[in-house]
Amino acid sequence: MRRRLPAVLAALVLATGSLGAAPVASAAWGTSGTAVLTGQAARMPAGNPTAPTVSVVGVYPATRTFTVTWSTAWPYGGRPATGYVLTRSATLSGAPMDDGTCKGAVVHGVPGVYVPADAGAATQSCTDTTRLNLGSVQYTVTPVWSRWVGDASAASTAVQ
Amino acid sequence: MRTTTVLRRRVGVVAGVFVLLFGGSVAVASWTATGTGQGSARAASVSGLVVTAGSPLGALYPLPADTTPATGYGSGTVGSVSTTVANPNPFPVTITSATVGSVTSSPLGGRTCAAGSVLPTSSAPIALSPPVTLAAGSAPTAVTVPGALYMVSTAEDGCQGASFSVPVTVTGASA
Repeated sequence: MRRRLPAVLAALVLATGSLGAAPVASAAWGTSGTAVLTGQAARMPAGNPTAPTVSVVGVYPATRTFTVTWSTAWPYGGRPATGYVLTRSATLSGAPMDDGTCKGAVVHGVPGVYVPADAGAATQSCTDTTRLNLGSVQYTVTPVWSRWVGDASAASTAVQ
Repeated sequence: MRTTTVLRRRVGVVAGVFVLLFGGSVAVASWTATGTGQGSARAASVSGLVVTAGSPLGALYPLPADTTPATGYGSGTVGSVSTTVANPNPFPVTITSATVGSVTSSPLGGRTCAAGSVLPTSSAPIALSPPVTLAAGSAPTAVTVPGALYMVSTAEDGCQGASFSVPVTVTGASA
């Protein structure tokens, strides 16, 4: 009997071992599928901001400072524009803005970007200081979102 | 008498071993039959899911600086991709994840939008929460993969209005 005990134990191991491996039966069967989807990138919203307002201090030939004010643009997701490009058009000179904050700087490769100190404020303003004889002056404001540049606003009312 | 006792013991041992082996064999046979039988039957009939493009969701724009795709887009649909999936199999399938491939951008005429301007948020499978279960032989059903794509914050101006395409693989298992 004792000599047969190993055989009995081996049989038990075999039997229980086989039973232990049985739950493989619960496997699920995988499947998949692929398609090429298309999407669209946004564009900068039009009509945002509206025409700026302009005030001026000084009379030519003395130094004059134009202050340009406009409503903050909110292009995407309730976030304000990261900057603005201002342009000046004058009846007597096509010279670029020579001094003041409105002329901006190169930001992310975009030239002439004015970056507000408080981008989320309700309104923004910058100054354009000059001694040139410009004649009648108007400004437009163009919102910038990182490297994206939107459409220019309508021109401001002309000031002398 | 001793011979009879020894014989009875031997018979008992042999019977016990027989019962164990035979009983175990029955159990093994039963499990194998169930597992293998079902597996063979399903393996022979499993078909791929039929995926088609759905309606585009929120249009992408450059991710705000210093944000992540998860936090930078205010709208829940921006960066999501939409598909429809049909299940041609004779058993229900639960879709658990989607994998987004490389994006190809096509800018508007006269513009440029560099490769890499639109990227998948993850190269790993994106888990669908909750998973989507399709009935056996189901008609095309909308499946949305949220937060699948984003546009890098430095995307150039020429990416405005660009269209893009991206392969999306949905993966599921028999429910």
